[in-house]
Amino acid sequence: VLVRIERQIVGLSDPSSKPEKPPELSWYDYAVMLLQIGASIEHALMVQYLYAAYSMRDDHPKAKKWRKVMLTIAREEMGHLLTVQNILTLLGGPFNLDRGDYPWDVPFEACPFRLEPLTKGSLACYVYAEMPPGEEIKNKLKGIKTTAEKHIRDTSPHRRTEAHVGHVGTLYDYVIKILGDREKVPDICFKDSEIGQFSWDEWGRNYRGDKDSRPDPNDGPRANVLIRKVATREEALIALAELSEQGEGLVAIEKGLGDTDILRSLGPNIPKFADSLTHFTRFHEMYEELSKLSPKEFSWNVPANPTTDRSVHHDAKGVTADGRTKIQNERSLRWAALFNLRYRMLLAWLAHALTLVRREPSRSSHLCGQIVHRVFGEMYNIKAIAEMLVRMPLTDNPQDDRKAGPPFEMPFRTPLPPRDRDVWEIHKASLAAVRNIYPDLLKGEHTKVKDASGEEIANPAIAYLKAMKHADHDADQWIDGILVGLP
Amino acid sequence: MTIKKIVILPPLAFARFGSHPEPVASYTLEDPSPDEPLGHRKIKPEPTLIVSQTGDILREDAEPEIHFKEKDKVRPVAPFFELWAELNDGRFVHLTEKELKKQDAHVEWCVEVANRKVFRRTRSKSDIVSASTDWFGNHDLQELHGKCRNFVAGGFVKFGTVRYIQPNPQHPQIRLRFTPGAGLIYGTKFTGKDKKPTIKEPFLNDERRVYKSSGGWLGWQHDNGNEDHTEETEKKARERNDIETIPPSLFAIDPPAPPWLNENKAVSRGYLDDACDGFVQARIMVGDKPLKINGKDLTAKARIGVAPPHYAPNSLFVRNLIDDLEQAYAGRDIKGNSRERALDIVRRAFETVRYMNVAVMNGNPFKGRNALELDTMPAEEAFGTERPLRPVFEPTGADTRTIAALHQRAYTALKSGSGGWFAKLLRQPEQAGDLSDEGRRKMPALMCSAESLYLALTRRQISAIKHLDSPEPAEPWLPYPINAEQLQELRPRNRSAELMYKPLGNPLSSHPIVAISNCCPGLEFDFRAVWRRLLVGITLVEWDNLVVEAEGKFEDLRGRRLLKIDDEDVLAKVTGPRPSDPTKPLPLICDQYPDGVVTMEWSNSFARFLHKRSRCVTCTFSAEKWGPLQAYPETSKEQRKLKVQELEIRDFFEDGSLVVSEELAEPGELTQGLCSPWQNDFRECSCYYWASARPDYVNVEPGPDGTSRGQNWMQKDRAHDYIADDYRDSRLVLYDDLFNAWEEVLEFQVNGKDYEPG
Repeated sequence: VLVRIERQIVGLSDPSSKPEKPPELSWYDYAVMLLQIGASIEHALMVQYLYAAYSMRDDHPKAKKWRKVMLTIAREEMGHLLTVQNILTLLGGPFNLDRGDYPWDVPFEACPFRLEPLTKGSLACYVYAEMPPGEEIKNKLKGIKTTAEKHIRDTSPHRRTEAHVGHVGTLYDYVIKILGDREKVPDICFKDSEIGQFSWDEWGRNYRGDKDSRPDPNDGPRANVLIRKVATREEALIALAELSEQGEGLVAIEKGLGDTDILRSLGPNIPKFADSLTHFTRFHEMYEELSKLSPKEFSWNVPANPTTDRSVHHDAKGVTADGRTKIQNERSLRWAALFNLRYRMLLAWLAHALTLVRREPSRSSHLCGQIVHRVFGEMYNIKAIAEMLVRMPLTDNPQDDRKAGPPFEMPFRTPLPPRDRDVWEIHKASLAAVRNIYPDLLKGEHTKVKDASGEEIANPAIAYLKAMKHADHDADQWIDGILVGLP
Repeated sequence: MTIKKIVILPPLAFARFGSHPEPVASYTLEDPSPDEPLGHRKIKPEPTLIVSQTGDILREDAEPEIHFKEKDKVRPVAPFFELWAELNDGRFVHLTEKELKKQDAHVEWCVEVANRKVFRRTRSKSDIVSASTDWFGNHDLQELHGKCRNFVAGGFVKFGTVRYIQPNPQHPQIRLRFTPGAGLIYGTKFTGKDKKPTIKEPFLNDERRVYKSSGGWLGWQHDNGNEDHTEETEKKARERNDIETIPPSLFAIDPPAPPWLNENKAVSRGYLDDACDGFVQARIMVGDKPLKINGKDLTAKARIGVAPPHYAPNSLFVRNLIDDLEQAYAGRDIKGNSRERALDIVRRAFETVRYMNVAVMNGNPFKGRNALELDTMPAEEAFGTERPLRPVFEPTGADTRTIAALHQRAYTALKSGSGGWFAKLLRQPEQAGDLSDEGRRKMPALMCSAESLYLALTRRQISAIKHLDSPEPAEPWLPYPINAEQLQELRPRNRSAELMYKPLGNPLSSHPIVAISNCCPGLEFDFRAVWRRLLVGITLVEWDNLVVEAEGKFEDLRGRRLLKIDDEDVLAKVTGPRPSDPTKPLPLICDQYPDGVVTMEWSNSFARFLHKRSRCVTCTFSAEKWGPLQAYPETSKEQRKLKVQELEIRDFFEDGSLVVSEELAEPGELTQGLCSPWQNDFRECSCYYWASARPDYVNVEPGPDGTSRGQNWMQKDRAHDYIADDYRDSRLVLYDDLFNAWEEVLEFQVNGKDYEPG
C-alpha cells in the first residue's frame, strides 16, 4: 500500500507551498491518501519514541525524567493516530494501521524511520520533526537541522547523498489546505456524523483529554491524549490543527490558515496550547540537557533497528546491508519473537476495534468496548517485554555488551478479513502461536536470577510467562464463547 | 523466668455469627498455584483446636476441606486469644500455666463488650447494651449477657460466651476463646396498651423481646420525624448532637423498604442485634493480688469485634483493615521496593472486580431499566449531587470478565519486573470529590468510600504502587497472617508483625486482613468512629468535621468545624463537569454539599499527622458554631475570624502495643454506626461498598455474545440470569427473608461460585 502511495506523490514540488496533486487523483482521493500517510507517520513516530523511551536507563535520574517525557509524547501520538482514523471515517475512507519496517520512507516523513536509542543526533531529528516550519532560522535552533542531517548521513549509509529532514506538521498543513477548500473537496464528501468514531472516553484512560491540563505535581508529566470526534469539515480542520499544534505550537497553524474563507473564519476557533506543552518545546528542553551527557550514561546499549530476521546476511557486528541489527542470542531472539507476536496481536485487536466501531447500527458495540481493553492489555505486554529486551544480550559473545531491544517488526498483515468468525479465528491463532512458543521460552529461563543488589531471587520472567499463559487461556475461553454465538 | 510485660495476641480479632454448634475450622489462604497465577487464592486448612465440653483442648484436627455452613446453619468464627510474655532474658513466649505456677502466679481474664447501635441513634445512655464478665480465673463458660436500662426485667442479648481454655499437657499454653452470638434479632416487648405490628416477626420469640416498649426505640424516627428541615432546625439538631449516621437510617424500618423508597421516612421496628465490640483483658495474679512491675499491675488488652460471616472467604478486599491499621502504625510512606505489595493490591483489585457486575455498577441501563433505579455509585452520585446520572466508564467496555482480565494483564506485566505506570491512575485522597469523568475513572473505580464518594486507597497503598520500582531494599511485608514461630522470629525487628499474627486454631476470617475498611458504614467495624477523639480534648462526628464535644479549656471549640490541621485541608472540594463544557470543573453546590466541599475521610486525613515528630498540631476551626459545612474562607478578613488552637494528637495504639487505644473508642463504639440489625447491611449496602465481602455477581461465565453471565448473589433462584438489585423484587432476598433465615439464604462464595464442599 505504502509503496503505491509513494509512487503517487513522487515528483511533487515542496509540500509546504500551494497544494498540488497527481492528475489521476481527485482532491478527495488525495486528501484520504495523505491522511493515510499521516496515520502511518503517527504510528511510526509513536514506535520510534517508544523505542527511544525504553532504551533509557531507569537508574539514571535524568534518563528517568526523559523517559517519562518520551512516553508521554508517544501516548499523545496514539491520540493523533486515532484522531486521524476518525477524520478518515468522516470522509468515508478506510482506516490505516500500516507502516513500513526499516528501511522505509515516504514523502512527508520528517526523518527516515529508524528505531534507535536516544542520542543527540536522534533527538535532533525528533526536535526538528516537531519544530514549526521556519523556526530553524532562529539562532538557538540553527544547529539542530545540521545535527539531524549529519545523524541521518552517519546512520543510514544508503541516504548519504540526500539526508532530508522535515517537519511532521507539513503534511497536516497540506491536508488542512485541501480540506479547507470547498472547491477541492465538496461538502458531500463529509458524512455529517460522528458514528463510527472513537473518543477519549474509550481510549483516554487516566490521561488528560483536555488541552488545558497541566502536569500533575505528584506524577510529573501527563499525556494530553487528544482524541477528537469530528462530524463536520470544520471540526476535522480544527482537529487537524490541534494535532499539529500539539506537536509544534500555534505558529505553524497560523501560517497555514487563511487561504480560503473557511480557513479564515476558523482561525479564532483553533485551541491555543501553552508553548510548554508542545512536543517541540518538550523535546527541545531535553535536547539542551541531553547534549551535555554521553549516551552511555543514560541509555542501554541497544542497537538500531533490531531484527529477528534470520534470513539475511550480516557483518561481523550483526548489521545487515540495509542497516538492521540481528538479534543473535537465542534467548533474546525468542523474547523478541514473543514481542513481535504481542505487537501483532495489539494491531489485530486495534484493527478489530476500528472495524466494529464503524458498523452501523452498532450491534456489536459491547464487543468493541471490550476489545479496546484487550488492546490496552497488549500494550502492557509490549511494555513489559520491551523493558526485558533492553537488558538482554544481543549476541552470545560475552565481550559484546550490546543489548537486544524491542524489534517492533510489522506483522505480515494488518487488514482483517470481512467475516466476523474469521477475525476471531485470527485472534485465536495468535493465542495458539504464543502457546506454542511458551515451552521454549520457559525452557530458556533459569529458575533463579540475581537482582540489582546481587541477591538471588526467583526469575520474574518465569512468573511473567506463567501469568501471561493463564491470561491468554482466559482470553481463548472468552473467544470460544463468542464463536458459539456467531453464525 | 521473669515476666517484663504480658501481651494478648492477636491485638484484634473478629468473631463471626453462626448458629452451628461447631465453630468453623481453621484455615488460611495461599497464592494460587504458580501455573495458574491469576486464579483464585487457595483455602489451606490448618490445625483446628477441638475444645471439649469441659473446656480443654481434646485434639488438633485438620479438616481436609472447610465447611462454612452445614444444613443451613453457619459455623461461627470463634477466635482464640493467647497470652504471651516478654521475659527479662529477651525472649517472647506464649505463656503456659506451668511456668506461671512456678512463680505461684495465675491468670485472670475479663471481657467487656457493648452494642451501642441504638444509642448512636437515640443518644440515650439507657440504650447502651453492655456485658462484662468480672475478672475470672476458672475454666467455666462465661456467658456475655448484654443488658441495658431500657430492657425489661430479666431481658438480655446473648453476645456469646468466653472461656479460659483449660491447659493440658498437649496444649499447656494460656488461651481464651470468644464464641459469638448466633446472629439473632432482638425486639421490643409489647404491653397490653401497645399497638401490635402488622408485619409477622417469626424470628422474634418471647425470650428475644427484651426491649421495653416505653424505651422509645420502637417507632423511633430521627429528629422525631420532623420534616421541617430548615437551616434553623438543622442547627438545633446539631446543637443537640442529634446527628444522623451516614448513610442515614440503617436500621429495620416499617414498612420494610429503604427510606428512600418510602418518602425518606424511617420508622424503627425496634430491633437490636447481638453484634458487639470491646476488650479482652488479662492480668497476672499472685495470690489474690495483681502482680506489679515497676509499681504497675501487669495487664494486657486486646480488641474483639463480632461481625457477620465473611461470605467470600478466598478473596481479599482491595482496601482492608490491615491497610489502615498498618498506615496508622507505620506511616503513610513506604520505603524501599514495594513491588510485592503492589502486586497484591492489583490482585485484590481483580478479586474485587470479579464479584461486581461491572456493567450494572458502571451505571449502564440494564435490560431497558433506567440506571437510576439500580443501586450503584453513579446513581448515588446522581442523587447526592442532584444531577443526571452518567455512567462512569464508556458503557460498552464495562464488563466484569473483561475488566478483571485487564487488571490481570496489568498484574502479569508487573510480574515481569516491568516498571510501574499506573500510580497516576490512582485516586488521591484529596480527589475524593472530583466527580469529573477523569476523576471518577481513577482507581479503585465504582466503589464507595467513607465519604460516600468514590473510594481511594490508603496513602500507604498509594505509596506502595508509586515505589514499586524503588532500587532500595524492600520493607518487610507479610501477604498472609503468620504463625507463632514466624512471629517470634520477626517481632524483635518488626513489632507490627503482631498485627499479622494468627493464633493456632483461628480461621483467617477472624483476622483483620479480611475486614473491610472503606467504611460507609462498614461491615465488621465502622472504622470512621475510631478517629473521633484523636485530637485530645475534642470529639468529632465520625463522618464530619463538626466538634460535638469538647472538654475543659477547649469548651469554646464545641460546635465549630475543623477546617485545617497544620495548614493541610481537612475538606475536599466537590466538583463535577460543567454541563456546557465537560472538560472544565464546576463546584457542585446542592443540599448534600451546600458549600461545594466534603470532609475527607479521617483515616487518610489524619495519616498526614500521626507520625509527626511533634505531638502537637495547629488546628483551624470555623468562626461560626453549629453552622453548616462550609469551605475554608477565601478572604483574609474572614480568615481572621477563624479560631486557631494547638491540640495534641492522641496515641493511636495503647502504650507499646498494637491495640487501638481505648481512649479512641470504648466498647461498642466501633460497631455503633453499623446497621441495627446487621442484616440490613447486607440488604442495603450493595456490593459497591465491599464486593469481596458482600458479593454481587456470582457464578460468572463468559456468555455467547462476549459479555459475562452470572447471577446476583442475593437472588433466590440460580436458574435465572442476573437480576438487578431491587428492594421490592421478591425474586431477591428481601429484608424479612434475611431476618427470618439469613443462614439459609446467603451462600458462601468460593472461586466465584456458590460453595459446595466435596
